[in-house]
Amino acid sequence: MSDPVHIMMVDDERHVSAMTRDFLRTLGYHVTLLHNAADALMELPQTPYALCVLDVQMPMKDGFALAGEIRETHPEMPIIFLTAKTTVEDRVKGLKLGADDYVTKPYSLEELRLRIENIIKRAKPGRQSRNQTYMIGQWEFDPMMHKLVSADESITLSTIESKLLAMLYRAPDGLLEKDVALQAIWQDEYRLKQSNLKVYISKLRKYFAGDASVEILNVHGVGYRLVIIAN
Amino acid sequence: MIADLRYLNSLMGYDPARTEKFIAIYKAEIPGQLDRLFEQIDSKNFDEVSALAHGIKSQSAYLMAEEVVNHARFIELNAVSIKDPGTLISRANQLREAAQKVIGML
Repeated sequence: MSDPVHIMMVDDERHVSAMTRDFLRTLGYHVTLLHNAADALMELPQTPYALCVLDVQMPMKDGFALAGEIRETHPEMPIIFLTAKTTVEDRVKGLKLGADDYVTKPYSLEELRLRIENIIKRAKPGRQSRNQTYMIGQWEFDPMMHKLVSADESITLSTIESKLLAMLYRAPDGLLEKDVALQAIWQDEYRLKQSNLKVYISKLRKYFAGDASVEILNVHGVGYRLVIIAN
Repeated sequence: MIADLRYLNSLMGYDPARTEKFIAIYKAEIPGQLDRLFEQIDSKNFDEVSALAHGIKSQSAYLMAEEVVNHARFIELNAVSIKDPGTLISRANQLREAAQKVIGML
């Protein structure tokens, strides 16, 4: 049995996108549906996505900006844009960002299916399964395998530790706000988990205690900042 | 034409179950979204007004409900720049009337 194909779909419109997700799931795809760019960037390191389907017109950060950030860490990630905009300028902008395809809203589910299938077929073998890793001081961090590996040590992180470290690494402007972390990890229970967050930050600090080039700073009243001093 | 179910059916891959599900969601969700649109106009939260109108427009486009789409598009594009609740309420009333016609025919 082949590995499941993971698709990340990001669309601020909730109802049609949920139908699309359900439709793609009936075809055997594993679909994660998110409704804004911030959640998408937090989720991205957690799963080996084969493809991103991004709505262009979203508040706060649009699909083009999101694609640019995705490509910073996942340069080969195939991207399909969902767009009501059909101007030449938008298509050129998307193509410059390396869009693999466009689907114009309102879209046909069958058309989307075919475009996804074409991209999956074109994808290079192994592209989906290759893990994205990050260098944090002396450590190589693999968020999918929950591994933190140095020259002489290998640590298996818990799911929460791994998720938290990935969020610290990916945080916009390097600052991970407490509420963002709490909500992303504990969702509805996040208000009850303030002290748990401190515990997990302490654990991460212990792992990096022997590496002077890595520090997790408190930003009073706001959150945490991962500081990596380049050698 | 108020709406075109043949168009919706084609977008849903000629699957009656999916088409029915879309219609059920549209009928259930749009009235609440319209209510929120009026609330946000009253609150002068124009970014949210624009976002809500964008959502109504997107969903109505699947039905080719042109009148709804046109009113919603106007509100989406102009809510932030107009910032005049009177103009927006007038247009939102037209939007609601058009949406009610669509829901009535579904």
